[in-house]
Amino acid sequence: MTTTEPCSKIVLVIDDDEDFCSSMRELLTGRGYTVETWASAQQALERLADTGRRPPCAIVVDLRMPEMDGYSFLAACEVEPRMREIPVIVVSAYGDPTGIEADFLSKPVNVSRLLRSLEATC
Amino acid sequence: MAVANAEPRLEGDAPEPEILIVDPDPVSRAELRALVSTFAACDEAATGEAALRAATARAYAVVLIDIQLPDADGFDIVTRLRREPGAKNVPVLFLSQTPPDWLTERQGYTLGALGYLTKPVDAAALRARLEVLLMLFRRGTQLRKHEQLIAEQHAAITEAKAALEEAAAANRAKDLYMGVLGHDLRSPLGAILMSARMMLMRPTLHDEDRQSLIRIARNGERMAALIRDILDYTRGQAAGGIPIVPRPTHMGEIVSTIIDEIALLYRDRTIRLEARGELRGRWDRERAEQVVSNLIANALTHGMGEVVVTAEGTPAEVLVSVHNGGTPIAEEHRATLFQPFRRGAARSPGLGLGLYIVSEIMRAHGGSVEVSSTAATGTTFTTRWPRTDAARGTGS
Repeated sequence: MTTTEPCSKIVLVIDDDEDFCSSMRELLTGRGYTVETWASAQQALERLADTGRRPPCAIVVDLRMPEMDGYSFLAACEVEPRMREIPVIVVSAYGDPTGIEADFLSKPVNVSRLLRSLEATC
Repeated sequence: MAVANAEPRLEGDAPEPEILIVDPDPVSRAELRALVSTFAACDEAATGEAALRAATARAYAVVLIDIQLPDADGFDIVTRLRREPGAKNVPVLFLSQTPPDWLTERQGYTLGALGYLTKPVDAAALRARLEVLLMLFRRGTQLRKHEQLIAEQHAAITEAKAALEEAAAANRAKDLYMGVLGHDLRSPLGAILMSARMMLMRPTLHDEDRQSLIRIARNGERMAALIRDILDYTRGQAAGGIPIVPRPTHMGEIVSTIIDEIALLYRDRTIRLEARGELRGRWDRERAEQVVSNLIANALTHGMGEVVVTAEGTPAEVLVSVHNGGTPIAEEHRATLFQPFRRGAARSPGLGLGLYIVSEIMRAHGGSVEVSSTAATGTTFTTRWPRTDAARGTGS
């Protein structure tokens, strides 16, 4: 897990694609966000369940990941009231949002769109 | 001396011989033929050997055989006939000059003979017996034909099933291939594009660097659009249309986001947005962005001068149109513009799927896309996005 800039709006980025995570960190840091990147959805869930930590204002999650994938992550968020409140933006190169309730962005991610979605939720 | 007529016949030439008459006496043979020929065709043989040749060459409904032949005993011939796979079950009627004694009769029945006829043969009795045998023979022939037909149909069905399964397997492989290809190409392309765009957003950028980044991003966008088109086309074909997930969304915001993204890459061009009326509704936001992005990219690539994007809300629908000046689309290309794999002569490289996918996305939304293109007014693509009842009439 990597964190940048304390005391700002936290965005959780969950993706096993390191390049995507660092792009997100670059993009959002300096625009008033603190970016936490997680390569594992399971670990991100544990972090979210930790009541001692500040909840993020948005979660950006990839669909295809080894071990726990984005679908399972979304399902896990649904059952936990604390997590259900947090807006989720799903990103996927697979590009099929069928069955996904959350906001959906296909990769390559439209940067302006992503920034607007975050502005709207954070 | 007449010999067996075992010559092959041409179909339709004459009725198939169904009765074999084996008799050494030409007069007796002629009499029998005269009796039989009113209801069936027949072959003739004068000797036992000729009879054997004939009976093994074709299937007969019945063999009428004289027990006294010049070269052999009628019983011997039937005994040999019974050893032939093709003739072992052929019905046999023995002919004799005199009524058989009980020993002869038993010998005949042992060989599977159906009976004895004493010459001169009683016409009515012979005909009655032959007709029963002919009927059974013809039914048997019919049955074998049906069996063959059923076997052929069965083989055809099996073959068709195998072909279908093969096609389904090929289809599954194709879907998998396209999915993996799309995904594995898109992820690295996403990283390239995102980095390029983020650099383009930096305020302190040398013009030369900016130009290089714009080239990277424009070409990357073209690749991304091509991959997306291929995936959408493939999935659309498999699913019977492009699936959409409508949610509450704002068309004005969609259009301005896309313009922001594209304007970064076309700094020398002007893209003007005109928005009026209520622009909220329930549509698939990603797909709407895809439509707008496709139309604006087309306008920039194929048109000249300013590109004007208009979003206009009416009570029933939202109209989004993209206008550009320049050479109009040739009449002959306009008719097939929205068909897959059709490209205008002067249009950009690619598969010619972009506008087809636009029309499919509009169809999935219950809307439409139209084009008007003249030298005087320029080219305008207009998309109609019907509002759902839930979205209609929401205040601004």
